[in-house]
Amino acid sequence: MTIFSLALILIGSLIQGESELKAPNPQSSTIVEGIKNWFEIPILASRESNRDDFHLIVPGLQEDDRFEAIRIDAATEQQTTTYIALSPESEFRFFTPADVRLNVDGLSFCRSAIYLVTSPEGKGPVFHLVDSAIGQMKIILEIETNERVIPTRSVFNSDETTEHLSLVSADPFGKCTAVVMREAGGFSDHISPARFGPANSSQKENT
Amino acid sequence: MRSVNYFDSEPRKSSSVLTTIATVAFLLSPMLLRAQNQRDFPPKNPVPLTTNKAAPDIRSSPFSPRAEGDTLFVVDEDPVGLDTDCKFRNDGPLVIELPVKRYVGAVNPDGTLVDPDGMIAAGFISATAKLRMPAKDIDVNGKPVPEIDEVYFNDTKIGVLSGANNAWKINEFEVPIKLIKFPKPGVSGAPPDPAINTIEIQIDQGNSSTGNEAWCMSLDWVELEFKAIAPIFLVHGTAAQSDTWDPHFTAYFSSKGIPWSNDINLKPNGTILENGKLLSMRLAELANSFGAKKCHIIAHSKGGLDTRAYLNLHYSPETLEVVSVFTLSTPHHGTIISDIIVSARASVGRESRDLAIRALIYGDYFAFRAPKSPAIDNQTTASMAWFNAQFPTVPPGIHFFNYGADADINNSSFIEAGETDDLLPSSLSDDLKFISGSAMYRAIGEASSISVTIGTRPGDYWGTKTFTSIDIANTNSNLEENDLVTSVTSAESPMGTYIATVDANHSSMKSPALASEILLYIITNFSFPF
Repeated sequence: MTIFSLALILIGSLIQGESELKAPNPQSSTIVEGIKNWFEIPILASRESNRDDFHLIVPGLQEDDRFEAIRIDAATEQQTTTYIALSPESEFRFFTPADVRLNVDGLSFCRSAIYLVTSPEGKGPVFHLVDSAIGQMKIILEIETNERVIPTRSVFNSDETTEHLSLVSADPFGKCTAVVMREAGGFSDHISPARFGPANSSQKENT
Repeated sequence: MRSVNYFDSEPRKSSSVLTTIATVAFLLSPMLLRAQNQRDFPPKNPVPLTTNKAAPDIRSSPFSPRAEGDTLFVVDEDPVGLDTDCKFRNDGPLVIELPVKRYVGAVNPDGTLVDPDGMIAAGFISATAKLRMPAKDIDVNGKPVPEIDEVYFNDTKIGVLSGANNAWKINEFEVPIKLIKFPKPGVSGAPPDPAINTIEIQIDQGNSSTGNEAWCMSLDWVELEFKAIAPIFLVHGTAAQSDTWDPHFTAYFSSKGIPWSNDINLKPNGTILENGKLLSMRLAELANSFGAKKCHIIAHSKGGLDTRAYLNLHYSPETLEVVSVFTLSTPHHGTIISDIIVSARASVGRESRDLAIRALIYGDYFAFRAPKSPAIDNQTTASMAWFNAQFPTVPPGIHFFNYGADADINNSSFIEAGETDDLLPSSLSDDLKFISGSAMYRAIGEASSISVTIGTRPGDYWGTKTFTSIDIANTNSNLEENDLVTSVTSAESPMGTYIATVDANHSSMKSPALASEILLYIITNFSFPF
């Protein structure tokens, strides 16, 4: 019985999967081009002087002390490569953690997971109780009394629900909320306007 | 000299006598007014004095109390003891209740400190507190028996009031700290329940034996000020929670009886920016539960970056003033370990020509990918470049210190099994510890940057195979000291002061010795941040 339980926990720890993020309105999702050499999650920033665009900043300082960035036009979603300087005096303001929550249409429970090494705590092998989700995971943005599903993804035995929420950030000037996540073939940037527009789901959601 | 003479008010039968008295009284009225607070005993018509609460304007003296702080407490309104008319001995003692709202360390059930002598000797708290109060009309040179008003603090006599006739004077007393009652911490972020300290003025005790009531006095407000160490808050790093400080730091600070807490649980793998926001809220709660307006922070690993985000984006010294920050092996410039793991996790067919990098890639795979994204992404050398560009400093007035660590304690350039204690599981064999530890030490020590090359080659059996080769791009001129996670160079922040490199790995550096060193540093430099 003990061996069976251990085997179940081991299998439960190993077998898990997550589909790609999907936006309820496909037009609110932007695939960022030119990201082949990006490995870290890019940083999102807005400018105080021009609120019609925002930038995905590539981590990593260039030789001229500037950062490569992709400028995304809020209206046309046109992407252009640019180089920007960052400093405490710069006009760029970073996206801040967004007030979102996560719902799972399906099963959501706690399960045991075995960690061979708990880094950097030096413990292991140890069992952890982790959140697990099976079904359709929805990240929900709450604005006043309304709520909106931003992206969804199908998950199986996923223990990274908390980490998903960490990837949702909000424009400091209140224009939009964004989820930047690595997908097969690059980073996707799911943009959602901060205000609720007309209830026409086919209408393009501008940033 | 202000004294009162209570004349016999019984009516006289002789009108001539009355006329004479009235005439004399009129002529002597200025003198009588000056002497009106001296009375014969017993007075025939005592003036009711027990309910003589001051008028709405509670400032009865020319002195104002200072604003309350977290080591300065003021009582400016008291129904019995303050802002009264001139009170005599028979009016009963003046009794003032002074609430202390700051948790300073372990307390007994009655609120007194458990180990006041030890705390004083260690510099955690001042030996005495200063009690200040403006008192009026203290006739210390009165005749025939001078006015003696005894001051008691929680039933212990601490001195007598001084002053002059009809004048206000601020009286100061040194109150032994062991007499003071302090509160326990509040629960669930609520402020502490104030500990009530009682100040009692026994009026005109010089005349208590004669039974004569000669002198009266009054008080405006009372201040109590002491010095105490600001609370120390411990901030954990990536893939960790508050128990990362167990057992050494928690046991050490618990044994000292000082105000401290490691009860901070941020997102184990959250971003720097979101954890900075969470830290801001949690620190405010903790400080509130201690009744503190100042604090010190000790942050391990990424906790130091979360702290920097808090200080740059959410710091409000009006809510909570951070006196000092100590970062322990915080990767202020990122760590090559994160570069390697983030690249490897994002790649298909990952491989490396470098043995150390290869060991790290497979080690990460078998460790079931902890720590996770996005925390580990935030700690790459590239990510820290934008963070340092945007937030190169901390707000002025905050003392920012850094410690690094070197795991190669015996300077062999290899990591022996014992040098991985607390970082690698004890269940691993010594050989595995040696191989893993040395690989990590070499990767961080040798590589200043990595290259990631994506390509295809003919498959082993058929078709083509995509590969991602992660290799060392640039090497350091010398093997850099590191703690198996963070290099000593990276542990030194763009701002602040680098204190020392500890002989330990990333986890074992959280030792009692370092806790003791930091506490000593705080006591020596900032214990009483007035």
